[in-house]
Amino acid sequence: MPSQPLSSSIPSSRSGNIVVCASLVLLFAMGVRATFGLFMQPMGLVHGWGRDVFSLAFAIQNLVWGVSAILMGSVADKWGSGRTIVASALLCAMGLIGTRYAGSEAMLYLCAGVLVGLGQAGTTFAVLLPVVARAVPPEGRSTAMGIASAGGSMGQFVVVPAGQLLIDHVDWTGALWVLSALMLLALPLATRLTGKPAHVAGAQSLGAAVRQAMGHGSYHFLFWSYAVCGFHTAFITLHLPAFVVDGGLKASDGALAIALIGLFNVFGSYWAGRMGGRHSKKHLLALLYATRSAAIMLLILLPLTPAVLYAFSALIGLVWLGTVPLTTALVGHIYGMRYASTLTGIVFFGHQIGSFVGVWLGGKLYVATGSYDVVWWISVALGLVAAVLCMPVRERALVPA
Amino acid sequence: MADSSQQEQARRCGRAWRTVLVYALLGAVLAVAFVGYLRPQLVVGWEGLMALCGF
Repeated sequence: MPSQPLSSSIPSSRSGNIVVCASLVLLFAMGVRATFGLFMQPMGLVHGWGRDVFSLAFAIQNLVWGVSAILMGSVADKWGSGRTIVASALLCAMGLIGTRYAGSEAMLYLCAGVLVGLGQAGTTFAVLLPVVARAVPPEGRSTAMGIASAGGSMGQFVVVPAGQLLIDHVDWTGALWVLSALMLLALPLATRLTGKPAHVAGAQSLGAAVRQAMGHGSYHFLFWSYAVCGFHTAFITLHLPAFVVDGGLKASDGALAIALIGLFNVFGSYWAGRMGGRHSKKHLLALLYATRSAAIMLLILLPLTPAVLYAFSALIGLVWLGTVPLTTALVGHIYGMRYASTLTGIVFFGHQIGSFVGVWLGGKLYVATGSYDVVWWISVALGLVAAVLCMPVRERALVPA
Repeated sequence: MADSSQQEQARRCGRAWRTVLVYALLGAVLAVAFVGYLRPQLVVGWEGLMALCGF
């Protein structure tokens, strides 16, 4: 596949196609992943698996996703994004079909955990956003990445109820086949997402680019602030329901809260990307993290009523995945587009570390203290720390070493 | 001269309609999805939503 030419030489209609195709791939991949929890009950009934089995499968999936995002990023940088997306979509589809036929816990971990995790890594942000960024002129990058991220957010929001509908009508076995077919729709779309960064003779090597980023303070600030993003989203997603029920609200209030987070997340992702094209991205990131802290304080300081819960959900939804286009755009802007997928993959690994800690610590401290108060306050503090970490990020392009 | 300005106006009008249609479609999809969250099958299983957005 040919090297992708400089963005300025790509006609705008082709750029538009690339943004749309990348958004759709993200929609399918993020949507399919978001439905996994729906299969716990029906699959668990058939196989006799408890939530511990599924939790481990999800944990493996998330860790594999985080680690292999680096691998898939470097594969995309070296051999092209189109091939990476095709291989990853096939892995994801295989993982879903394998999950359908998994008869043992080990098979579930392999299929739903390892294969789907690998597939997710190559069909989500680390690979897709740099493709979008390369396809549009620098001044439009942030907005384009915001649109693509909103596609992923929309997938998370829309595919979950669709997945439930499928389970209701064609059983969980049929639903997994349909979701697998949905992932295969990424194959034709990948033909529009081909290419890799143009190679210039004597240019910086991958190792040199990674070493340069590792030796640059801003990269560490982005890594750890992104880890806070993972901590927040994972903790809130998994533990908010229990917190709501503990607080005396109904399960339906919690469902509405999750729906509101998903809905506002679609607009928030787009808004963050769009604003990133006009304002300082690091300041916007700091604003998002500080807003998260404010929203969490609103939730824990005010008496828990449906109105407070919905206000929290809307506010936190607006700043949910807006960090993705901004962080990715900053990585591309500072360290260049040549190895943007690899460098974004490394930063995304930080996000997944945060996710893992958020879920684990949430449960651990709840058991130890009997409430979520401590973790909520830790979340507030971490949001402020992340906001502070973003401020010293040097938002200037580095000269390759 | 008049023809080209009419063509330009028609193009703009067409673009505006396309934009309205895209937003209407987006709104409809989001609304249907939102209603989907309120179905009892989704409300019942908290863990069923655990993978949404984060973990």
